[in-house]
Amino acid sequence: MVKRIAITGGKGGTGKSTISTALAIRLAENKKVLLIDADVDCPNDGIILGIDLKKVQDVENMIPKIDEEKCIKCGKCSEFCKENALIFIKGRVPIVLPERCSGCKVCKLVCPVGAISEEKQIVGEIDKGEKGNLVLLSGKIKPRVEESSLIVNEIRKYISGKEKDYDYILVDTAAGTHCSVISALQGVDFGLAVTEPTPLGNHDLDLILQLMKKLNIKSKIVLNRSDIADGEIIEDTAEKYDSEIIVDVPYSKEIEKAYSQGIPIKHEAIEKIVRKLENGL
Amino acid sequence: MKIAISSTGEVLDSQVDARFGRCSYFVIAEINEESGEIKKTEVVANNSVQQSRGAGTATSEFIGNQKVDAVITGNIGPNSASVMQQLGIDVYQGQGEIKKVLQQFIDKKLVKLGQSNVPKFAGMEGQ
Repeated sequence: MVKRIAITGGKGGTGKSTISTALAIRLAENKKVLLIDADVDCPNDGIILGIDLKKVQDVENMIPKIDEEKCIKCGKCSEFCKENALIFIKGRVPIVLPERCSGCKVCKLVCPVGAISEEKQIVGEIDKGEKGNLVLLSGKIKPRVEESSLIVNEIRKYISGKEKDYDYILVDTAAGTHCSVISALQGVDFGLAVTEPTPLGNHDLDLILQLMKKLNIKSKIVLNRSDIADGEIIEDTAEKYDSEIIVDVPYSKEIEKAYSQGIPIKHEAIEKIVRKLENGL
Repeated sequence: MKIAISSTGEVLDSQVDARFGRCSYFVIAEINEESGEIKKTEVVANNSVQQSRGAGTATSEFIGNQKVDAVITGNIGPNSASVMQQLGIDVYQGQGEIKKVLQQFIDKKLVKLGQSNVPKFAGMEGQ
């Protein structure tokens, strides 16, 4: 059975990609691993892993195209648009702001005269690369496009049906708790929240654990740079959400060095996570 | 002609709000272009300021429906600038007291903003 694990954490810069890539490389020594870089605004896993990525698919989004002859200038499309992507000025055909559009098509649905058709725009791409047993899928959004979840959802569609080809599917999410992170968390067996014992790390950990609880996803914590401060605040937060710290990663010059060179880290903490995974976390 | 000025307060002594989408009020002034006389002013609250996202575009829609010919503000983001351009509403940059800025406009001393001069979400700073 394939195990699907999200590597997330709330705060940025806590080591999500560092842990994801190290874990992927280590697991791929004897298992088939798919790593998904779902941080589509800044996908970096390919750089750390030294994997050349090639585009396998464009990601398209539907944007509304308004037939100016048919439009009766009622403003219904604008009224229903939650993204403010359709600007309605009385007496005018609505103005479309493509970058704001999430592609939900509600405008087309509510238009009483069928004046809205679908026009495709490319909002990003899915890239793929391989190294031994490891396959990397990396989402990339076009600059200025706001809806990053469009790309993450498309990657999920891309792998659907192929999950069974792998022993492990790791999803490296973006920071935060917004739509693209929620999309990346869909369908995973549990989430590893990578954090650090700082007030910022703790604050954002609280948010991501809260989110995972709402989504009914079990969570475990990787406490990175565990010795830079007292980890007690993190333990309290873990307890609050029935989570637990499964591994401490003390601050280490070797890790920083590997990180600065853009290469995957090797560390006993990774071995510890692997053992936990093998024993059914 | 009708002009909308982003404002920090409800009176003509208020300052021009540097933010377009997230200003608290707009002063709407009607001026006689030939004589330079201010015919009428009114203050309207900008309800779009409450929005977590898309305040600029919602404000653009609000301003568009006020049927103004020009806008005076500090900064304008790319989405709002695009809407203003498509509506044919000129955007001018102004700062300081509303009534002085309005006079500068009448005296044609304000600079027209050709396009957006700040990135998206710039108006959220400090909130």
